[in-house]
Parts: sequence; structure tokens; C-alpha cells
Amino acid sequence: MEKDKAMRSYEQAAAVLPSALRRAALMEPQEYQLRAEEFRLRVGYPMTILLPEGEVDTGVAVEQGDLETLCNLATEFSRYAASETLRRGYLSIRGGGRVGLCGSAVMREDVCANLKDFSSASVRIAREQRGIGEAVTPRLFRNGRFQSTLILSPPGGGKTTLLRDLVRCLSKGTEETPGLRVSLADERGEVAVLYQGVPQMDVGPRTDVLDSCPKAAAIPMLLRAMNPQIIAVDEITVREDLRAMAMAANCGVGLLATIHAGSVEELLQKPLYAELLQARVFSLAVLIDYTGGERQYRVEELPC
Amino acid sequence: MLKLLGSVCILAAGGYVWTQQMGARRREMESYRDMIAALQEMEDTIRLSRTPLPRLLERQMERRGGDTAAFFQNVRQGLDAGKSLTGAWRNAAAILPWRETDRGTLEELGQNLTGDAEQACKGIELVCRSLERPLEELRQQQPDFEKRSTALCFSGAALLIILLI
Repeated sequence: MEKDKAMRSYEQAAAVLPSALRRAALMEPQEYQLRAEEFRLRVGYPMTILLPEGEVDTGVAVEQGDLETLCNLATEFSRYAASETLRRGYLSIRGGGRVGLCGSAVMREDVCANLKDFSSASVRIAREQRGIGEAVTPRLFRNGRFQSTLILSPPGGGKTTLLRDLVRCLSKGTEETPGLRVSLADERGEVAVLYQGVPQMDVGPRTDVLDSCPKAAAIPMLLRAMNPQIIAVDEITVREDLRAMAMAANCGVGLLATIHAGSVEELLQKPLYAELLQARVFSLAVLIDYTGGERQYRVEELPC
Repeated sequence: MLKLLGSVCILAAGGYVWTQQMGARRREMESYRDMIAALQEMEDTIRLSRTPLPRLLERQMERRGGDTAAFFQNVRQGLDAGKSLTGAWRNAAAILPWRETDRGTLEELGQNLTGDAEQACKGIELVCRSLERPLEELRQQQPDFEKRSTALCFSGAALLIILLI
């Protein structure tokens, strides 16, 4: 079952590749297909497949036109529908994958308005890991009440994957914890991956998803509209997001969020997040350690 | 008796030619009108909800009829066959029963639809404006066309009947 799902994710990600590259990707050994994390495309060089141990060459060279075709296929020939994310350098694709793009930025009033002349791309293969949050979920409760929690790890550490499964566990409930109403502000569409209103990933039966909306705007909307018990967000990075989260916390809503940081100490060194900790918006942190080829999850109390 | 039968046949043939001419004209006008309405609806949907193109094409295939539905179906089939949007759009436009210049105008829209929302909407708006011109011309010419066509078909038939009798 898990094997079928991994193969399906690989095939879905390969579906946005131009035909010659897609053929090469689908001819790779099954062992690679099951473990592949990304396809990497760089103009003038062969496409590679990123495995946990490194990149493997497919031997098929990438041309500039291939990246244009990739963009057309990923957007279903509708770049206008993806212009918001395209100007931020990525595209969400069906099945939960994501295409990251590099090229020449078109600047307008000091803001990137578009990307053109693509030079490289990465197609990330969605890997849903159901069950990784089951052991963590009960540890996020104190006296039967959910405590606002931050998920910390460096980029690529598996924060989004853990967030998705924690949302599912909190929403569904576990043997030790009740099911709660979770509202998910999925700005980049990576957590639930809505496709025509249907989440492509399992985020639980009591989860309401608002995607493609900036977190600072999404949080008050969810508060007003959905009466959540928990609000979950991926990657808080700017002051506006923190302000919106603090406001939600004052309304008595539990929060679950991810932040790029290797440890609590690293988090404290960043002035923006230090303020958040001082305000006691979050009380717990889940740290992701990658040891012995496996991810370990540690729950820590955050300092005042 | 034979002459009477022949006259009826000639008259029927004249009527048939007239109906065909009127039908072709009506079809031409209808296809311009329908295409403009479809494109305007697409523009609104792109502007308001950024709906991806495959769903827009499907919606228009369901709502429209005749040449317009066939056009959108051809675009969709072209995309499914792996063609670029520009290529699929151009091929689909080539079979419309329009003047060469109007087909060319519609063909160019395929390129604009690959851009951002502003470019796509502007492109559609311009094409709609361009297509409204020939539609207006056809509308204005319609009474004259009807008169001319009726006169030609039925006077031709009458002449033949006279000659026969």
C-alpha cells in the first residue's frame, strides 16, 4: 500500500516533466522511484534524481524549452492561475508536489513580479508519512488541553510532513486525546494540497483548509469564520504572521506552526522570534533530529 | 402536368439554395456572437477566480454549441495530445468558418493566454473588440443580404420556370 502510494507520487511528479525527461524518469529502477525526493533540472546539464544519498544522473540533457514546457504542464497551461506563487519561485502541482524555479526575475517597484528565462527547476515529490505524529500528539497536551507548539528544524528537515500528520492526529483524535476543530492556513498549498476543493493529503475529518491566502490575512478570517480550537500554519517568517498568531492566542485558540531553526537556542538568537517567546504565545517545541537515517521527534518546553 | 411538376421542382431548388445561403449566414453570425460571449466569460473567470484553462475549456464546451464548442474541444484535444497551447489554439482556430483576418486575430490569442492574468485578460478583450467589428458589419449587411439572396434565388427559379413553360 505504502509502496503503491510512493510510486504514485513519483509518477504524479514525473507527469509535469516534458516527454523525453518523463520517459527517462519512468525508466529509472523501482528502487530509485520509491526513494526519490526530487527531480533536478538545469539547462545544459542532464536531469538528475535526488535520493537521500545524493543526486543520480539520468543522462538526458535539459534544454531551456524543457523548462518552459515544465512550467506549462505544472500550471495546466494557465500561468495566470499560478502567477502569485510563480513570482515567489514555485508552483504547486496535483498530488501534493511542488516545482521550484530559478531564472531571471522581473522586478517591479523592488518586488519580484515574475520569473522569466528559466535556468533551473526542482520538482519535489510529495511524500506523505501518515502516522509519524501519533506518538507526538499526546505529548502536546497538558491537563487535557492542547498547548501551542512550534515545530523546529533546519530547511528540508521534515517540518511540513510532521505538521501535516500532527494536524491529522489532532483533528481525528488519538486514544489519549479528543478530536479537535483544526483550521489550517495553508498559504503555499503544501500541507493539505487542495485540488478543486479536495485535500490531496489526509489532514483529518475536523480540519478546515484555507489555502493560497497570506497567513496574516488568513488567521483572522479563520477565527471569524470557522471557530477553530487550533490554528495550524506552515513556516512563519514575517512580523505580520506573528502579530496575527498572537491575536489568535489571545482569543484562546491553540496554535501549531513551523519555523526554520535547528534548536531553541538558535530560535532565541533571532530577534523576531525572541519577541514571540517573550509574549508566551507558544509553550512547547517539537525538534526534529535526523540520526541513524531516521527522524526522531523531541518535545521541549519553551523558555519564557 | 409534367411542366407543373418541373416548375415545382425548380421552385423547390430555388428555395433550398436560399435556405442554405441564409443558414450559412446565420451560422457565421452565430459563431462570431457565441465566440465573443465565450471569450468574455473566460475573461471574467480569469480575472475573478483564476480558473485554470482546462476547466475553462470544458465549461465552454458544455455551454456553447456548434463551431464554438468544436473550437474549444479541438483546443482541449490538442493539449491532451501534448501540443503547446499556442499550437493547439492555432489549429483549432483554423477550422472556424470565418474570414482569414478574423481567424488570424483569434489565433494570436493563444500566445497571450500563456502570460499572466493581466496579459490574458487584455488579449481576450482586444480579440473581442476585433471580432465585434465583423459581427456588426454582418448585422448591418443582413437586410441587404436577405433581399439580394431572396431576389437572386427566386427570380432565377422564376426565369427557369418561364423558360420551361
